[in-house]
Amino acid sequence: MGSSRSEGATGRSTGEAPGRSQQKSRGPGMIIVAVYGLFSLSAGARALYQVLTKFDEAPLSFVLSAVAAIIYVVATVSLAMRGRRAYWAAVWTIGIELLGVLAVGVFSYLRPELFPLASVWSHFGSGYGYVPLVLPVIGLLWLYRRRPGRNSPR
Amino acid sequence: MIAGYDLWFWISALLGAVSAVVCLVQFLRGRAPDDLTQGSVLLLEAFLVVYLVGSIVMQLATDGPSGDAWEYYGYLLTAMIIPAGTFIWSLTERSRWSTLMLAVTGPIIVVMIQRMNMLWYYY
Repeated sequence: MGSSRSEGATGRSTGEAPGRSQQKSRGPGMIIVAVYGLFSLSAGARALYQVLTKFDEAPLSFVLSAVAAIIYVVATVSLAMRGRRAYWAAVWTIGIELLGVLAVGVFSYLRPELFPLASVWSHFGSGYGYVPLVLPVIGLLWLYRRRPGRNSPR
Repeated sequence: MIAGYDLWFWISALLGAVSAVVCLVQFLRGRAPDDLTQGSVLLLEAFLVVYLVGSIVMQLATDGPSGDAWEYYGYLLTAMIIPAGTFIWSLTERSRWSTLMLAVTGPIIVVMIQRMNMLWYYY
């Protein structure tokens, strides 16, 4: 510990150039961006497969899968980008993501006949270890801590 | 077959677990990605290349997966993108958090090989 290689820890505490410290994909934020990237990839691949091969079996599930995949892609890009507009784009997409996972989660229990096959958000994302439910909460908390105008982001 | 999974899965489980533990220890020590941690992820990628070749050989020699072949190869290609992506990102982001990202790669690959095993043998 404390060696010169621990750049992530020392760099943030000593204060970097403003541009670098505002980049949300640096430091611990890169883990959130990486997980969003992973969900973009896996949800996108799954949605593509479902829509191309068995769309007729459960159109609502698969439309939701595709919408979820698009939201993950937009969230990943806006999290990775700098600036105020990207920040608010991230807040909006992740907010919609949270509402989406809650709404689909509730309806997949209330009206299971609408969701005969799983989508990413069915049953609050239980097929993905509930990561889809936890991820937007962590994302929004992270964005709140890095909100514009705050002097010393941690 | 051990506990319903084939040797491919168990090799991936071993490689993924070793990679995850090595990267996690290096993350806790505050280390940026180095030859050891990046090498362990490259080893996962090399394994997936061999797995792809093995899958194609078995596809030609047998009836292929019990489940949908499109889904099987979709999983495989998605899995192959992940270690490649985390490795390339770890080259540009030189912080301990990059090492934590490398640590997550192994378990994801193991989960995906598990799904591929299910698709190949069961449905």
